[in-house]
Amino acid sequence: MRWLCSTPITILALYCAVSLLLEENYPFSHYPMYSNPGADRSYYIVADGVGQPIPIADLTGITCPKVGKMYRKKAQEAGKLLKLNSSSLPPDLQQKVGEEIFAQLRQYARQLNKEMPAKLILQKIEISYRNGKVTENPEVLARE
Amino acid sequence: MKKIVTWLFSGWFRRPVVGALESFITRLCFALIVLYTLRMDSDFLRMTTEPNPVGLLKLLKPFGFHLTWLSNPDTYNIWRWVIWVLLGFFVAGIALPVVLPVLAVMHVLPFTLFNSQGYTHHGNQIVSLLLLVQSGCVLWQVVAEKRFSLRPPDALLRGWLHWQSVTLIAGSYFVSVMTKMLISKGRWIWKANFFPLDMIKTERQTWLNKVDHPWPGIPADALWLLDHPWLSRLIFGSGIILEAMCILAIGNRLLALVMGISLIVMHRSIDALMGGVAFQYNELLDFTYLVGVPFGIAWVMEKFLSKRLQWGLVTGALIGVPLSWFFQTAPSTHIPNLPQYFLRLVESLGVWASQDWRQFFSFNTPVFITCAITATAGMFVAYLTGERRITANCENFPQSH
Repeated sequence: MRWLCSTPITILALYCAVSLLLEENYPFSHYPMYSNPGADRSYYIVADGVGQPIPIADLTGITCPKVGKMYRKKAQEAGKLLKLNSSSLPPDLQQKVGEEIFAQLRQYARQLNKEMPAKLILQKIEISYRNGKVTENPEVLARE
Repeated sequence: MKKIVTWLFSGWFRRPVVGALESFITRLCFALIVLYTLRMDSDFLRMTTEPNPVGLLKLLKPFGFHLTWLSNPDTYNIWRWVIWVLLGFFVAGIALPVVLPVLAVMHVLPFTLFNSQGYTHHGNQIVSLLLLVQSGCVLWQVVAEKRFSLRPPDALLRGWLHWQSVTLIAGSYFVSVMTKMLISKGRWIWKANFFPLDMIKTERQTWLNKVDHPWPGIPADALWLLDHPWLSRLIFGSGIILEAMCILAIGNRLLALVMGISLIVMHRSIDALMGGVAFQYNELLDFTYLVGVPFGIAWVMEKFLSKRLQWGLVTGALIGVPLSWFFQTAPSTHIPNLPQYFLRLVESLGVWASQDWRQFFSFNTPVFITCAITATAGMFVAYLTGERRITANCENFPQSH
């Protein structure tokens, strides 16, 4: 057993095990980005009341991918109670999660002294590749 | 065959030899990277809530532990200056059993708050973990080997610090491979032909951040790759194989160099394909620990200069950094005080992600020139005050040509 203390492979094994176990708990991460390529990908749009996308990073300092992460994280937690995954929440729960995100985004905009539109809409766009064609399908998740 | 296999894995069981000079330059490079991660002060100052606690915060929040006090500008300012001072000790190699654990905790806490905002950032983990693993090395020396020293690390500790750092960096790539395999149920390479959809997604997201130009179409290279699935699998699949193989870099300088360069090429390719998805801390650490830039610099200096001249050169170059502030004459680079100037210099590391070399050189040319002059002066002073030796290697150069 002494050799276990004389090689860094022990730390490598420990580190891999702990990272996979703890997943996203800083400073550990299991680095899930790009881990499951598939024929469908999604991204999120924050739009004004008439559906026009707003420059979210300029207004809030929060980039578009971060909005997606916020939604998925909150949706995952909301879905846990009902034993649902983040993409199959009922509309009322989607709306509730969206409202939390709107509140957070408005707070960030206030900190930057930026003015947000009176109403916001959160959309999820599904990009798909089928039969040699790329299609994009929007779905409204929440609106103010 | 047996010889090749033995060589490939030999580094796992043979601690690398790390000289004092290489160790010093490595610590200097790592300290700059740590400082570079802390440049986002405006982000920290906005984090007045902890909507989705992670890590330590998740563990300790039920007991009333919070981190939002870090978003107080005065607190954060003190916090940052303490880190600067501790990094000074770290670079000098002084009191590492005390300095490294404190630095590790001080780096983990603000980024725990950062990642508790509901959007996980995958970049700073590797820097925090590297500080933690190096702390583990020095604490192991104190606790298990009962060797407490406030002096610069000895050969044994230098070797372990390097060995474990390379292991951690290689491990972070390896974890990513395991996650890919687990989540895709082992079919990652087979499904990699859909990876170009992420290119389209990233293009869209980049546009949505600013909405400052017409809606982009589908990138031609993404469409082309979607239409050529086997080529996509080959291109993207080679990346995951490289990430898996990088554990061979542990303890093997040559393989570390090859892996380091390959990983940097991979990161650059992803950045180009995805339109600005840079893993800059990974790349900077790859340069330092895998490619071995400090090892190369130390090797050249040790080959041609005596110990006295080596340290004369290093001391002179370091003195040149603050001196160069007086030679920054362009109005655009006017900086009111020296600490601000150091911050700007550290931010220069961002050139690797931005590739804006013109701006980099316009700001850093006075630094390079000043440092070159003071380094030469440092060597000259060392030469005058010490022995006149340009190393046996230099004196024994073949005379025939």
